[in-house]
Amino acid sequence: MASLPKRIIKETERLVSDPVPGITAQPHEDNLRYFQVTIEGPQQSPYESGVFQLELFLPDDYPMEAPKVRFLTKIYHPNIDRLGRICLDVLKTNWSPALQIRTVLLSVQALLASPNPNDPLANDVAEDWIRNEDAAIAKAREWTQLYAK
Amino acid sequence: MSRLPKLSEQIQDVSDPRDFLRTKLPELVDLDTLLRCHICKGFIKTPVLTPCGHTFCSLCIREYLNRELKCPLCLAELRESMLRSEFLVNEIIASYVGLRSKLLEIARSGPDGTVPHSDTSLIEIAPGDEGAHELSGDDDLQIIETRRNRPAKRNAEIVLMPSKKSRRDSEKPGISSMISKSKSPALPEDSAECPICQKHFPLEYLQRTHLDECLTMGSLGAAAKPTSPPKIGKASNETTVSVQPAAERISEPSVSANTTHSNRYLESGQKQGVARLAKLNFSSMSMQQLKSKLTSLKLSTIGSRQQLINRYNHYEMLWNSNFMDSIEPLEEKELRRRLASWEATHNSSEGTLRKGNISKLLNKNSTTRIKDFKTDRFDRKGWILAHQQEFNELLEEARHNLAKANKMKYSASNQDEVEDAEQAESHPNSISCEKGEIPSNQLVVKTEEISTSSQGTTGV
Ligand SMILES: [Zn+2]
Ligand SMILES: [Zn+2]
Ligand SMILES: [Zn+2]
Repeated sequence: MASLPKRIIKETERLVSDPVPGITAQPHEDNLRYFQVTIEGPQQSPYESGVFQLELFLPDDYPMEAPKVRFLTKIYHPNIDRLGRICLDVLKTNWSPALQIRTVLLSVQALLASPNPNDPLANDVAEDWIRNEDAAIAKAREWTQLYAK
Repeated sequence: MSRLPKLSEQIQDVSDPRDFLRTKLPELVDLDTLLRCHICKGFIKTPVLTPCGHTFCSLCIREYLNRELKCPLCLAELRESMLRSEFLVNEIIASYVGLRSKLLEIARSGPDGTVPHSDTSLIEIAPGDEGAHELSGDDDLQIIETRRNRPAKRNAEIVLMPSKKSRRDSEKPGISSMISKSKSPALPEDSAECPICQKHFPLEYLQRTHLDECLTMGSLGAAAKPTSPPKIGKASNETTVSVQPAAERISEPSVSANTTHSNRYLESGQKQGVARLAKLNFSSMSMQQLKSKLTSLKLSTIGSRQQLINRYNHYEMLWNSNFMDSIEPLEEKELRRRLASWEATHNSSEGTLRKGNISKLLNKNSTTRIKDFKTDRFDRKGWILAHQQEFNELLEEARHNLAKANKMKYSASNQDEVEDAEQAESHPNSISCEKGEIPSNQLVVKTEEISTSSQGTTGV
């Protein structure tokens, strides 16, 4: 036990014993820095009633370095690309060691609630979104039904 | 309340502010949170203050500033040279940490007052503590006159007061050293009590190794655990006196600890004679220059250029944190020892990045190279074997605590307080997120005191 950083143990314990509503995070049994994450689509978003699988990895320089998070479930979202990579400033330039797994996952959940096509990662999706938001939202709903069940 | 199982004691050693959540004193969650570093989540060790008003462990923030020149909390611009040590905070935290397990025990005791060894509730004990503190403060102000009037009390302090400080005192001018000089003769020569875990250790061992582990590096209780075999084994070989039975300590206000921290604070001040180590511009340095720089610091010159650079950089951080920030700097020899243990786990041949201080902890067992996690060279099997069971137990324990907590929630007499504390702790996180403010202003999503303190300055 002594070999795991205190901070990671603390965060893990908290994630399990006091989970964030709509979010689960379980450390992988093969690798305690690797978490299997689920996030429920926020209500009143196109992702409502979907359950999205993600993976989260804590690099060995965590918390100096941000966790790596990726969607495993296919999702139609202007800030998430086909590989599941997420455009979210806290995961990149705005990472701070004062943040934690919890807050990162909450930010991802919030990103589902408010897609931002002006800062796109998936360009084609963002274009769709700007051109015809209603259609894009309909498609996001459809994908949620298809893939996030 | 029944004695908790062993493993959960270990988890407690990885202490969390929420330990106080379902106790009689949930308000302590807030205090306990305030005294922690937002980088490592442990109690702040060698606190330094930024110009933006935020406090971190000296090593944590210095390490971070090697990557980003901003405050982790408010993102204000920040450079290492702007950091200032905070001796008072250092002693406040050390004092609190020394009291914490006692506080927790009292706060957890049943409504019928089932504290072992006494029927005192915290409300009764607290003024006593305070009184003791004030008394000792008076002592300091009145210097020696009153001291002789209370030999008995002093004696008690003498026995409990460990630190090498008191020996050093004899070389120092100043109020408190005059007081402590008279204490020194009665000190057990080589035994000292750890202010955190209250176990006794050989003085040198305590200062060189144990305190560090116990406080920050806190390798999950291995050090702090009273039952931890290697440390204790070592300690008891050399320890001469075991001062007080544990049971007695519970009722005894920690007069001595207070005095120690006050004294240390009074004695703190500008350090002389040791210069800051500069950051080097390696690109303009030859290998020879690099080596002679290391030699002048008595550091090894073995390794690749990159290794030498890493070595210097890490040493510079240790050095500056120690000599610029620490209230009680360690000797160079000890810094070199720490550098060596860091290198053993970080400065491998292909390592080009400066590795986190925290990840040092990952690798006490040198066969398990966490560093290679992302590559095939990582020994996954070994890692799993070594840690899976412990981790499963940890998770099991966490679930158990959750279940227990839920049960308690309904039976607790102070249900309102509990819920208040819960809100205080978890609400700020969820609120700002659920409102969807996130993408433009992510850093609001932090713990409570941050969002309040940074609102004015955050210009994300
Ligand atoms: Zn820290
Ligand atoms: Zn700040
Ligand atoms: Zn200790």
